[in-house]
Amino acid sequence: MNKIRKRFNVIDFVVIVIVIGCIAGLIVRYNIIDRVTSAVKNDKVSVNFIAYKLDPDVADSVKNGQVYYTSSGNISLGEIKNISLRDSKLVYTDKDGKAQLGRDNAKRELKGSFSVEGAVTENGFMLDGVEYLAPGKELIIYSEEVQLSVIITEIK
Amino acid sequence: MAKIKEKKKRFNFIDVILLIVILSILASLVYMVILAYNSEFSKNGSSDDDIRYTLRVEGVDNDIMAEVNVGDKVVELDSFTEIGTVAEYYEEPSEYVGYNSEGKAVKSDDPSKTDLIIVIDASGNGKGSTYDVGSYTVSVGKDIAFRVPGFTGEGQCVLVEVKGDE
Repeated sequence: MNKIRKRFNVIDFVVIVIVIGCIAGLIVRYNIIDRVTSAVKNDKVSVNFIAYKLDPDVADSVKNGQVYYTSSGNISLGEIKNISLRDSKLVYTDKDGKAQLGRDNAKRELKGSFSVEGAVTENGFMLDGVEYLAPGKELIIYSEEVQLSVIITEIK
Repeated sequence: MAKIKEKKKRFNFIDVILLIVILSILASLVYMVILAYNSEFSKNGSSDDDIRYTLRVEGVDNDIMAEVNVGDKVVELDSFTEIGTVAEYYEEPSEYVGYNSEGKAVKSDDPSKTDLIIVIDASGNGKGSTYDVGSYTVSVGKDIAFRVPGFTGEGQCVLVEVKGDE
């Protein structure tokens, strides 16, 4: 019985090039190399945040020690710490039409922090090798007790 | 001698998938070539210019410790494209418009917010106030979501100029 010899032909070559091209494209598009190498590092940072204009009942239900997660990616942020509450900032106009800073006692402003691990890279801090965090970033976080929309104020 | 039955190759499902993938890729390549050709033709530029453009990020709350440094790489958030390097950075108080007792509009500084002005150097291909920086188009009036290592936000492009023409 004759052995059928398989020859490596043009179609095989094209398929291999396409597959390699797709993989390379994914790597570049999603910055995979950075994410993979970042995931290996374990830098510990403190992420400070603020939540604006909370209903007082919602604000009061947030307690130190509650464990929070990010809603995008379900990444654990650990226990919330250093909670401080105060009346929400309010900018109002005085009789001359100029802006003045006051407080709205119907709403609360909540500050707090998380100690998290990730990688401090030249592009910024990458949480758990998955998500870049920086001051100004808005996050929705949740615990068993409450869901909050927060803005990162500082990473140190 | 045994009869060697010739195996008839059938055109099967896998071949169909392969054909569709190859045709899609070829179509994309052709489209990209046409796009690139049209872009070159309309913009009449054959080499990249060194440009400088300005992003204005309005109304950043004073609680946010934005850290923007000269030399920081600027990355656009939707396309993950690097769109330049910070050349200058400064802050201005945000503007607040209120009305006095006579109903006249009065401008003052907003005590709770700050505007960030970030001047970015990049290489781009284009003309006037529209340039392609890599695969991302920067133009006056466009809102750009971006990050640098110490801050992330959205700013409006308020100025684009070719370096040397400033």
